[in-house]
Amino acid sequence: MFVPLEGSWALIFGVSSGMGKETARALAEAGCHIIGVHFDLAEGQQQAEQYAKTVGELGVEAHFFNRNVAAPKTRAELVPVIHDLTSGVGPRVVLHSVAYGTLTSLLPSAPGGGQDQDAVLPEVTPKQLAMTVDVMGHSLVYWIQDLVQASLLPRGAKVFAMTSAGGARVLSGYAPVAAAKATLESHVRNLAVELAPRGVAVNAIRAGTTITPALEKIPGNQKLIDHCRDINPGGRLTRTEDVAEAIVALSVSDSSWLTGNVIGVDGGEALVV
Amino acid sequence: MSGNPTAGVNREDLRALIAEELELPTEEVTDEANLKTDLAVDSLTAMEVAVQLEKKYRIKIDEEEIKSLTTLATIHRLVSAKVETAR
Repeated sequence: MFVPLEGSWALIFGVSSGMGKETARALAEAGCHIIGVHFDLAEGQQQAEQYAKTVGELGVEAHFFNRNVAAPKTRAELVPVIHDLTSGVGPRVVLHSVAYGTLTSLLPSAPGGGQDQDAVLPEVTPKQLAMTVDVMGHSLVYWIQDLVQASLLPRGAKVFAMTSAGGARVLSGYAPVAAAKATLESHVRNLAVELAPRGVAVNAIRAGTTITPALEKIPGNQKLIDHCRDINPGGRLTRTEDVAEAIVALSVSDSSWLTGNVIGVDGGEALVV
Repeated sequence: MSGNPTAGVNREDLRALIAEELELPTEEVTDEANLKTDLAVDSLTAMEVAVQLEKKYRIKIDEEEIKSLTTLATIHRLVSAKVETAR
């Protein structure tokens, strides 16, 4: 059964950029209030505050918090805020769209495997690897734990985690993030099973290559962009709007049966060679 | 306070702020302790320090400048210079 999103709440991690930002707008257009978490320096924070106003002008409440999503103190502070804002109901949609990690290779190497010897990527350090997997992978689990503990993940809720083709394939300069995405996809499957009795669905969204600030930080991104634009059977790259629309569409059902999947939103990009 | 050159950035306040962010006793944050190599600060924790510095001192720090937040002494110089320019 389809249940309108109007008046429900969404909790978005990574709301100031890329997929999180666009999905906030799309959910707000569907009448969903937004609680957003992002982590930006002053310049980015000002832009995020401005964006919260823009989202609010769509006729919903929009509360953005500039906090480290992976810090326990952030959860300790925000879970009670989420309780109060949602009148104890909790969010109907949770989106994990967190892009903060180290972009390098496991061994020293040139980005793209190319000949550019001036731009050798350093090998990843234990600290970088642990931090990246923690922020982009494990943080989903810790938030879900705390939301469940606080009875803030109601029956019918939908949890989405943004993954990428790099979670199962190899992209130069992406190795730590690839590990985080593989971890995240595993967490999605396990959470889906563990949350099934509660009627909560958990899925990973595997967007095709999309031009976002996060993509622009990947070494050799232009090569990737050109390649994906070339091979995508839909004839173009994925847009943040494609992802936002898919999340809105999947959120309006109150069924929890579509769960535990990695759902491609890429126009078929990952299917072709 | 503005215009008073002695009302600059207090080094002990800075030490306390950094120690709190790193969850370390203040005495471990010595003037020359290297955040990365001595205090095990990663890029995410450095970002947390930067965000708190921006908030407390009402300054703006660029992403590239985070790498230069190496010791209390260098942070003190950077923040002081920014606070001074902002006046």
